[in-house]
Amino acid sequence: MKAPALDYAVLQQAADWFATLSGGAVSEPQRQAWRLWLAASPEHAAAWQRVEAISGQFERVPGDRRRAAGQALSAAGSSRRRAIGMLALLCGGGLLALATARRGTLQAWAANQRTATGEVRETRLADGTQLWLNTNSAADIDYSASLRRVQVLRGEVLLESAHDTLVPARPLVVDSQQGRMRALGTRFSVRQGEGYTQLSVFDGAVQISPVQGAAQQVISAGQQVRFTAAGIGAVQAAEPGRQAWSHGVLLADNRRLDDFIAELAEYTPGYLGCDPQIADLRLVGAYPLADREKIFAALQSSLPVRIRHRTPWWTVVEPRTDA
Amino acid sequence: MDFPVHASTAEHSLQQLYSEHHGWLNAWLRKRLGCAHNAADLAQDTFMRVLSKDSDLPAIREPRAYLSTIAHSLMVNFWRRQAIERAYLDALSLQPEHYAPSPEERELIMETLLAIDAMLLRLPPKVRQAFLWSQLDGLTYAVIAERLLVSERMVKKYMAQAMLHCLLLEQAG
Repeated sequence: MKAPALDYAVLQQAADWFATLSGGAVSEPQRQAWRLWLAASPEHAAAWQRVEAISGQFERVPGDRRRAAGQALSAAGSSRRRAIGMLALLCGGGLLALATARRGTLQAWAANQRTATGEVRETRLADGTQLWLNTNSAADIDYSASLRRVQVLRGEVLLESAHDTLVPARPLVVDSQQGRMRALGTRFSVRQGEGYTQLSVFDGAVQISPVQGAAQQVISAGQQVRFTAAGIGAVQAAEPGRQAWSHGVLLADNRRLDDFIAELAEYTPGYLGCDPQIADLRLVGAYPLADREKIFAALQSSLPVRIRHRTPWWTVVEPRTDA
Repeated sequence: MDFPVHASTAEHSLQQLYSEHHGWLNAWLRKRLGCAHNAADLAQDTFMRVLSKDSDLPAIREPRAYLSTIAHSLMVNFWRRQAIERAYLDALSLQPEHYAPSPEERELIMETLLAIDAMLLRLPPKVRQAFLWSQLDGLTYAVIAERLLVSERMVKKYMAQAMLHCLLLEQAG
């Protein structure tokens, strides 16, 4: 990609500093800490430049027009949601329905959630909990008087839990084929694999109870684990990039090409494969899930590979033989 | 018009695509937009987009599906632009010291607003709102927290989330 790709962790630090410094009341020690961070590595400085470029976009609106501009964008945000929703009805679904579905629409309780291949959907549940459904996934939302329950039927969900709107608060649980995960105030993802469940916790903690067996275990932020109906595997470090899909981005941090292509294939209708000869090439970067052609173009320009579309539904990444 | 290297073939295929499907695309857009004038503009833009994409035209198997996909995204942009422009002019007219913006100023601001809007498109409503209030209206976190009925700490979290989202989008190109 054009500019060198920066680590997810560095971008996250830059975003956190931006949030700290934009608040108005910044203390001198905070400012000092920020300067130290900024000087600590060229990557930090590069990330901060990007933060400034983004917030600089707002500076381009003249001061006396800012209020109106802010109101316009806020109003357009909600009216557009309505307009696009209506259009989808008029046109009988298809692409437009997809566009609306991707938006955080307020879903009814007890809704049945499903995404197609290549689709990532965000939903706000009745209690304010945010739920993202990854590609080709299905989940049932079942909120009752005593329990907030999400059942993962296929694929992967990411949850950011909110405080319950009811008092006393009902437990928030995610059920997979292998067991129950109970959220303890948190952001975490659950992937339903073949015969196993993978849980990654990014914030807070989650308690696992496999279907068989009494052993329970609490998994905390930064950890990830696989479990089956019978037991829980070894705890590993969670990869922070694992949640980038909820932003519509596929992250590669020195990742094997075949591994990357396998994940991209989950978002691709039809077949997408990688020639074993180039499987262990490594790549770095953030790739927009919505634009597969752009990803292919980036791969072809950064690696000695070519993309071959044998048919519209059959794509293979092959070694490039430069004649 | 300027054509790239393979001018003759590209031009030929485009002409063919145009003559075979322009009428159909125009009707397709008119049905959705309910306005012949805008439909004609967007049909034109669609073919311009096809040309600039520099794609392998003869290899397109489903030309109408291809054209309608491009036309659809142009149409969504068109609606977005209209919604924002209308909301902006409404908001301006409500200001006490209201004076009408010049066409150039309006164009410049619209361009900026569309870029910001596109950047924040997929953020949850509260996160988006917090970011806009802070960056455009210059509200403090305390005021934003009060308006959104959340804690100040949550507002700060929203701000970091919005910025990280923009950074990732930008990095993804």
